[in-house]
Amino acid sequence: MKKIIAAVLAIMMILSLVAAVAEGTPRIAYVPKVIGQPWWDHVQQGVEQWAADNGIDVIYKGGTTVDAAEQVQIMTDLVNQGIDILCFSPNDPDACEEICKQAREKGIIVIATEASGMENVDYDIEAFDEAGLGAFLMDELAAQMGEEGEYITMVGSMTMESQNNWADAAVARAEEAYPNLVLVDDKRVEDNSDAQEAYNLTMQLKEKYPNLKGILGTGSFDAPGAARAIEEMGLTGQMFAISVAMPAEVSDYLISGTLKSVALWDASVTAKVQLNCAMALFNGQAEKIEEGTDLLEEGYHSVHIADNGKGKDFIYGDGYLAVTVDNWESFGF
Amino acid sequence: MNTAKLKRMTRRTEFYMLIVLILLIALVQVRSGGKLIALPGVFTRLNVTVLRTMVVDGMFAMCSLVVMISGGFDLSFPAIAALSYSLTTTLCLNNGWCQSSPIAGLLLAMAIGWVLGMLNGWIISNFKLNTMIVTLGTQTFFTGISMGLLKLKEITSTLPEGFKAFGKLYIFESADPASGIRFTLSAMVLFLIALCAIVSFILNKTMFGRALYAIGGNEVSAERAGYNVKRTKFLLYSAVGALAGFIGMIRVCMESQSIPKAMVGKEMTIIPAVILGGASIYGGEGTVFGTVVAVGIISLVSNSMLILGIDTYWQQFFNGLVILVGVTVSALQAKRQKH
Amino acid sequence: MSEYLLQMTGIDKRFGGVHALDNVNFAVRPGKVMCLAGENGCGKSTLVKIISGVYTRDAGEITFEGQPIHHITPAEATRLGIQVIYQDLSIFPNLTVMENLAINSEITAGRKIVNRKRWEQTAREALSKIGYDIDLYAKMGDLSVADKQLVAICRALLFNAKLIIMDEPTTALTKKEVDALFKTVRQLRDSGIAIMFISHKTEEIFEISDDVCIMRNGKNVYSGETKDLTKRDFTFYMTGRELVDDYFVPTNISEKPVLQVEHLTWKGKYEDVSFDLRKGEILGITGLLGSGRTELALSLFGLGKVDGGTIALNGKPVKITSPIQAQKLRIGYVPEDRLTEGLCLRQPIADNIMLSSLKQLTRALGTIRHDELFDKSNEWVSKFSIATDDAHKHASTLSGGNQQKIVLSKWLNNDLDVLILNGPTVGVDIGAKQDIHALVHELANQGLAVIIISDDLAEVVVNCNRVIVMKDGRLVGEMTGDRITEDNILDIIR
Repeated sequence: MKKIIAAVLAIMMILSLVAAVAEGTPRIAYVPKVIGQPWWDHVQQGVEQWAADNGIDVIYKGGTTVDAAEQVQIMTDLVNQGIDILCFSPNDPDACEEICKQAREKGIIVIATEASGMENVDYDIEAFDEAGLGAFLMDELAAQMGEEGEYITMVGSMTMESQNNWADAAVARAEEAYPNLVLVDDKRVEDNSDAQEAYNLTMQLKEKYPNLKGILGTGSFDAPGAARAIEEMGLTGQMFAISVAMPAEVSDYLISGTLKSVALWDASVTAKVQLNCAMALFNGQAEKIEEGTDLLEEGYHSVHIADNGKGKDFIYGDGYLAVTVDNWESFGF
Repeated sequence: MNTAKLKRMTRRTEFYMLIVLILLIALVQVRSGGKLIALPGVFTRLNVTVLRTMVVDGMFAMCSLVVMISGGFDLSFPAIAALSYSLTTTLCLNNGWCQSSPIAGLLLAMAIGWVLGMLNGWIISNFKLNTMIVTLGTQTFFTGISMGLLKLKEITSTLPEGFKAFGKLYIFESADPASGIRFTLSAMVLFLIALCAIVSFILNKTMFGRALYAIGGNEVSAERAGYNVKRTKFLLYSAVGALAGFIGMIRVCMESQSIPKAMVGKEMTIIPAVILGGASIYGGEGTVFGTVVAVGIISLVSNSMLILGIDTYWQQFFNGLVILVGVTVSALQAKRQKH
Repeated sequence: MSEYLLQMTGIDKRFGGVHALDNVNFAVRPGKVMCLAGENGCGKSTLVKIISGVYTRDAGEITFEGQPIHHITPAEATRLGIQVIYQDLSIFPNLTVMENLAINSEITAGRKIVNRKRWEQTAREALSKIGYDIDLYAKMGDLSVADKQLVAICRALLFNAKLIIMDEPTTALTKKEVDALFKTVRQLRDSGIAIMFISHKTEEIFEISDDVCIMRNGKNVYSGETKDLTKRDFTFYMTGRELVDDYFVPTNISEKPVLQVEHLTWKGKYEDVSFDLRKGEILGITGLLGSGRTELALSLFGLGKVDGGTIALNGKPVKITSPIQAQKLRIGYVPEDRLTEGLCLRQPIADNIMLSSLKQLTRALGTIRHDELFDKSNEWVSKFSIATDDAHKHASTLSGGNQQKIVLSKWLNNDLDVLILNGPTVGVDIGAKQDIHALVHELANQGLAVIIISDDLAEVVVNCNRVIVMKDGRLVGEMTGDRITEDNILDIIR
């Protein structure tokens, strides 16, 4: 009995390793921060659609938890399997530098997103300029709070570079434009990308800072978690929260008025742009992406180039948008 | 109280855990400026939150406790819970069930959990394999079914109303005197209390409960004494499966969201808590009281770190400490008993 | 009604190709103590398992109280009044004494709900059967082995036992505890209960039993009353060999002492112990459990502390701080509990033999020369007549005596000056015991200095040319030659 089970398992493992690869076309892998979350399900749909449109297979593989180590392991496995293009969205950019360096040494084209500070990539592609989104989040929250009161910043994780950059930009915006907004603690709280944790944190924060009026969230779990806590405390209309979020995830709170708006960009489009950029480099159509290059997706027909502060260029497109009770249904995700 | 009784009491882990809990309560009460316990109303925003956190963790701890008493380890109960509730909510959503009452969903989740638990029970009792290895395997297997085979999705805003409304039920409503913020004591606390009472009754007052202790103490002797060890283990693991399905569904109701991967790694916070509460990693030891105290300690700490101004990083440090202390105490106790 | 409580005739049992029981005839009288004796692997346990219903016999008749019994199940055995107290006692260390006493009868009665009052009543009733007093709420695991045994006996008595089978009950007991156990056994016997006592210890069998049945290789070679049997016959039936106590005669004692111990002290364990040891001598160190004899040995091998005093080897003072250093100084130590301290049971016999001399068998890079390892170990296997057909087999496949031989050979592989043997024949069959003794004599006469630490006085008397006696951590007596008798030693100890 045991032997039969062992044999069946062995055969299954061998079969799963035998993957057909078409000749001539690049072997592409896309590694998201995590799989099985709506945000990343949406990205996956985008990647799959891109694959169907272009007739090229893309391996879409990610961890089941937001875990930098697991992600690096997945990337290492893919690089060792032999691929030509690696697109990814890192949980911890620093942790990914080493494997990206190895990948590039093997001639693999490496395109990141949400990691403008990375060095060992061909390009990092952002949907927008980080400072712009941070300021946008702050403007929205400030308007809701009546431009006065105490607020604090929340991120999914301290190691998520882009989310921390947005938060930094938001704080900078408040200092510049809203003198009556008070950051109660410059220590940031992190919810490990878990709405339940965001809920607990909001409860505790309100306990510690009784006058807390706004939570400037960044990750897609921050606003829904905080909103549930606000509703439970009966503080709708007196306490506010915002973050990037999926329309369907926050529709309840938009309808009830606990959340006035959340910010959004279409990450599935960014993923497609990553793939387009990689293909352009792979086919030799372009040596270098320049200001104004067309990366073939809405919002990216004329991309911008900026210096990441470490002497390396990154690409960004145009646009983030506000999701409100009036327009949430139009997104369809 | 005679000295023999006193001596026996001071040798129990529960006794020290209770002291730790009391000291912690005093510390939080003082450092937070009296926010933990209010007189004469007793309940405060902080302590109802702690109790709320204890509901799911405490009930899961009961699952883990009964298995550990029997000398086993169940690493799969979070995976069972996750698969049970994800499948249940998906079915309810697709068929429009449970829009007004959650009962059908709770029963369905229990039934799914029961079937999954039976698989554990069948493998463990028939093949006499190490329970940790078996449940590690089934854990991965169940997670694979949920995420890979069925591709179950997160359900948040669209969660059936019956579940949402059920999770918001409360026994008691009040407002914080200082800020006027409303707070409620979740009705789900009743499930925790009921489950603790039932488990305590089973462990202490039924032959089935004593069988768990006996098997955990010495399986061969239990068999010789006339217990049907195989059947007992099968019943145990299938019951734990059903319970895990139920608890998972309670969690979904409380959080108004069904997230298939929310349970990943949960066993690694629950099992150490149970060990901290006096359960032995070698089986045969453990009480409901000690387990509740340990879960109380962990919930209190996790909910008051921010208020006490401790960085959230320290949460991980604390969790690690719990594992080390729990396992060390358990090993030392087992050693003392052998000699 | 027959004069026998249990009668078994022509019992046969095979396991595959092994003929475990071959036409065994056997009877137990009510109100008598019957000893089932035999070396390891002779079929004793198989026979017990047939009586208790764990195994089914292939052929043969069993009658109990004159009634023929066709098929015995464990439940049937209990109903008939047959109770087995296994060597591990079948207790629950994590439960209280009360629960341990009551749980079996509660299960048998098919109870579903726990009634503390009834449990306590049951437990008290059980204790009253032999007038034994103990805290009902004490944890079983905290009790001494002797107390655990008494609890197990009380539990057996709850089932109106007519026959109690005790499987090697004295193995883990001290002499004093054995005496107490025997008192209880006699008490039970006098109340009309038949006791079947399984043992291989000659002294105990002659002390306690009325009848004896000796088994060898699956056959019973003697059945009858103990008083008709001499110890010499007994040994012959057990081993199939004529064995005589061979008193040690030293022939090769060196002039200068090899080991000199002066005023050695380990605070709280022993104090101010002085003795010396010459090559060719076998020195006995004896005393009761807790007298400090084992601790003294541990200090000499670097496993115990030395708080004061000196040790000199070949005239030079030395400090022994670890077993590795002790080995370098050519001191060897064979521990008391060979199973946990001296052997890797799940490793091949050959590896175990060569374990302490692997250094001599390694190549430059630290790899092991396996061929040579097996050649060398085979030498020892034949020299010690270790009962195995293949040195590649795990050490756990051997009987206790043969395991002890391995531990000995492991040490003798290294050239030693001093060999310390702590309880060298605890749990060893008579035959193997004789082999080990003869070997130690030979080693001593070849010029090795040997220390035997033992509370088996007969062993000390036979094997030592000099004995020192310890009591409460102090050296209280020394005797040589003809002065060494059991009575003389007991005089000092008591």
